[in-house]
Amino acid sequence: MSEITKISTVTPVYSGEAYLRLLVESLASLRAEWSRLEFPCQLEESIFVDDNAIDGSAAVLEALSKEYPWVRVITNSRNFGQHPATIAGILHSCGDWVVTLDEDMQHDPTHITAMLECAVGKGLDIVYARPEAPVHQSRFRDMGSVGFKLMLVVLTGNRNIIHFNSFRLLRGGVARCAASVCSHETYYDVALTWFTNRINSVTFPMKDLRFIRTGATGYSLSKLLGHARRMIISSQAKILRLGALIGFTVMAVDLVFGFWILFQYLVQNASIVPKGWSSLFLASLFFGGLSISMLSIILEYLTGVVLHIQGKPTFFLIDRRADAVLARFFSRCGP
Amino acid sequence: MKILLIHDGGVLSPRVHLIAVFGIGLVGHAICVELQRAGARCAREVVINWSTPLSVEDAVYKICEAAQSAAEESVLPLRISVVWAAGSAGFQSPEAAHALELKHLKVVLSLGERLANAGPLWARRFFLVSSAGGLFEGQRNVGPESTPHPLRAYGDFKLLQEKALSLAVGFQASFVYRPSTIYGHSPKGRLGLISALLLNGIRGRVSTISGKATTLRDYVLSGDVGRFIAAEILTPVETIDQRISFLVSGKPSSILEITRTVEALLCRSLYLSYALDPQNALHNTYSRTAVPHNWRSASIREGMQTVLNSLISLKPT
Repeated sequence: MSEITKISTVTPVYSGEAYLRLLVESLASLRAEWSRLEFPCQLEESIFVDDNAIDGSAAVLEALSKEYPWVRVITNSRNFGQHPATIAGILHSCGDWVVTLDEDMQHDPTHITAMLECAVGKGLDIVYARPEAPVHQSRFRDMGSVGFKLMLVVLTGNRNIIHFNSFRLLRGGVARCAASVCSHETYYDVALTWFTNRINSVTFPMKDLRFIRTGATGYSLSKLLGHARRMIISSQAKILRLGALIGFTVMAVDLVFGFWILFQYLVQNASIVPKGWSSLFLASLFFGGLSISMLSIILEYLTGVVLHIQGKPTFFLIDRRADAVLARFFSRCGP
Repeated sequence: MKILLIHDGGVLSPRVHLIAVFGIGLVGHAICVELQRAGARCAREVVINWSTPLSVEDAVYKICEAAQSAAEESVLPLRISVVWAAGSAGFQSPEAAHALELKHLKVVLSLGERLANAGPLWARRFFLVSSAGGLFEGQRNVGPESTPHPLRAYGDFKLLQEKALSLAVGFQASFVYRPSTIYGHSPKGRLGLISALLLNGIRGRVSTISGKATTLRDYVLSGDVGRFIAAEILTPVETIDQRISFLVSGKPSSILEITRTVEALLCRSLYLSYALDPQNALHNTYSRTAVPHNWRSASIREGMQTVLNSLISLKPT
């Protein structure tokens, strides 16, 4: 078997007409650079998923695929969204590593080498790119993005969410297997965490040029809420356990309170003046707590069933031996 | 082996087309089904004992006999197409099994010369079903410019078969088909990964997989392969040396993707066991640029549904 590590890139395309040529040319120079340096890595294919693009992207891609034989174009029957398009591209890839990039040059392909170095050096399966400074140059937009991720970390208990970014380097097998189990309600990055926890990020300068220039963003509030919903559905939501805890605590407090009132009534012959108030209050508190805890248990069961249906694996085997070739190369070359 | 006859000339000048199909497994059966749909009738079925070349010699003799009698019916010169879709030796078979199969093929290739002597005006074509998986095992993104590098005896012999065809005399045109991993269902065909998973899933049995969950393959439905080859058999072409066609989907699928799709189709979990030392775990994928312009392949989900329907109804794909 060849010792050359093969890399595939996947880019979902929706309105990238103005950037696609630049992106492919950057990939072509990276390809040439790797070849010149005799890097044991080859950019095998760049897959562009035409997600029913609204501009002239399809024609640009057609021309690019004729110009560069390693550029492959697949077309979705309708607009399915960025995540499903990325999944379609990943399922058509064959690389040992798969890199996902946005169409708008926000993600510079030259960073792929550093991501690879980080992955093989630390034995990782997923490396996300993390912007070293806010990408949108809009305080509201950038803080919103960070706050949103932190909120989801709290709600789901999945600490990897903080790394999530659409510029990612994924081990091919993990990428494709996670993509195969994704349904329309599964959040792809959460599905990746079902297969591996060797996840990290590398910091790079990144700018959302399209947002800076035009103010246009692919993420509206409704889309962000949709993302949050899918992330929670795909995760074993920590909030459910919190619900159960609250329910049991309410029940326990209610029982203690009830015994205390009973004790006061029997020993000290003291009672609360409106007759029946304490028993009514205690009963509603007790059954309220019982309902919350029972509901949490049912939801916990339901989460287990949903995750099973979504394809969360019981185990997953991985072979990282091939990384040694690249790791040796990087250690020879130095930083 | 089946001998089929079809009349493809006009009413005033009928021309008989004799088609001999060796190997009625997954592909051979699918070709026969398509030819029969196009109006061919089965004139003769010969049972071949693959353990001896004598039996193949006998089959070749019977084709010559059938050609002589068909020529009497045909006003225009007879057309003869010989299809080799046979192959009892598989990926893991020993060299001896492949050598015997090559011997059989050479006997059938000698038919070209015999037919040329019997009817110099007869149009004689040969269709060989080779194997992309055997020739390009371990290679990814295989395209028309890729060079075969077989890794085991199976692939070496597939390459020798293609070479034997290129050296054969007597056939004016020869076609080589390199399908990727074929799946489907036929009464005498081999049970591949997909059919085995479906069948074991229905029966609640354990399937042992000799690859990894991440192993990539390219899958094509036997019916699609049969349809394509049958259409080429029925299309008269000018004399050509040798044409090689890749019959692949161009869509890599991991074994996990296949098992998940089977589970979704059957609405139940599969019992799986992965071999500890998998013998067949190398990736093998193909570029879509490799396929002929008129080749159409069903998506894996559609194909699996077809196989499942045929397994349930016990009708071949």
